[in-house]
Amino acid sequence: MEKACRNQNEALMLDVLGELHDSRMRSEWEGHLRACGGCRRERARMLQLLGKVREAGMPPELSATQVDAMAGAVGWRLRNERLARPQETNRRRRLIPALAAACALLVVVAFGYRFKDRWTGPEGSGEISAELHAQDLDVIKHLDLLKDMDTIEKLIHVVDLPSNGQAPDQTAPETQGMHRDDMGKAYA
Amino acid sequence: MSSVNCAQPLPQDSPAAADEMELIRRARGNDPWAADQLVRRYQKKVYGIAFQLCCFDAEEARDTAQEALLQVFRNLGQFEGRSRFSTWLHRIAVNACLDARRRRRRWFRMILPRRTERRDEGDPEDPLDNIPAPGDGMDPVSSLSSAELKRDVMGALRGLSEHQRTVFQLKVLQEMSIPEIAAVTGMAEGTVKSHLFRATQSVRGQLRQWVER
Repeated sequence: MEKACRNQNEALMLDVLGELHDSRMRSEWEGHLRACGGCRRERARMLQLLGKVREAGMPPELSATQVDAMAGAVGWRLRNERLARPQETNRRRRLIPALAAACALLVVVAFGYRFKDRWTGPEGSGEISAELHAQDLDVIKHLDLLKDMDTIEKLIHVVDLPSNGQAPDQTAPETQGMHRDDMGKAYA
Repeated sequence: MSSVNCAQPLPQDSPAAADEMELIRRARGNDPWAADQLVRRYQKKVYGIAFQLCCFDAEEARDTAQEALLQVFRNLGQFEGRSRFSTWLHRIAVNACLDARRRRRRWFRMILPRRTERRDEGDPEDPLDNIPAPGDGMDPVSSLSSAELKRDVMGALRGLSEHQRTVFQLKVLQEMSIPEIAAVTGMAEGTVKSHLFRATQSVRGQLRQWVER
């Protein structure tokens, strides 16, 4: 049996699918079909096949109950959507001022956070900041005493310098030049 | 309330078309009677589209048709009357069915991956189980033959890739042109053509016995 020509496959497909619009290609294909039995048979087979596919795709008839049920369901959902629409609009209308207020509040908070250092003085800081600064304040309060200690230490160092030119006792540098009490504790 | 069940496209200048435009105008204005008339007029057509795009599953097709009809009414305001209402509706319904199919597939893949795989492998409800009982006025031999054909066509369609199946269904069952399919699926025309050729070849191979009988 004569077979379909492979080089005519595209024309065959386009023809059976109803897409052979190019006039030159169509006339060539029609000329070929007249001469080629294999392609004629393959074309007939393909058309039959697509017919079978369409036949299988025929939907079963909807019963009257199904028709009514579908129409009823669509109508019901449409009505519900239409009823829900004004409520949604109202909700949106209420939501817009609330959203605007929230945004404004957010801007104010952000602004406040950005410039908080300008507006809050040391006394203006609350209990928490007072606690946080307590240690620092303590250091500042005793700064003079620390300076005095430093001066005294230098003085002791100069006064206690031995006349023989020997270096002071290096064993305990923190008690250098200090007097010792009865218990042996060093004092300036 | 009378129900009209014709789904034939109406000539644009016919009295019936004028009547249809009036129904559309009233449905846009939230007239439930007009909406009901339009649903009844086109539900079979939309159901047919859904059935063919849902791999011949009648129950799934009914749900999808409902969704598609809702989409039609949600978009009714966009119908400008430049084309026939039936053409416009067809486009909306096809898009809605493809969307529903994609959503369903995503959903199944997410919650029931194994079931989705099985469905794709070709383990659907067997059409041979749904042959009408004798006495329904149908020839049992022809019923059996059509159930077998349906089963084989379903099997052949399930053997295609997702893109090939969509393109083939839109072309062969919905009779859309290649540019229309390209517009609906977002593929290039060349890609559509290539998928269509491959799908047709594959289906021809699968259904060979049906054309050589």
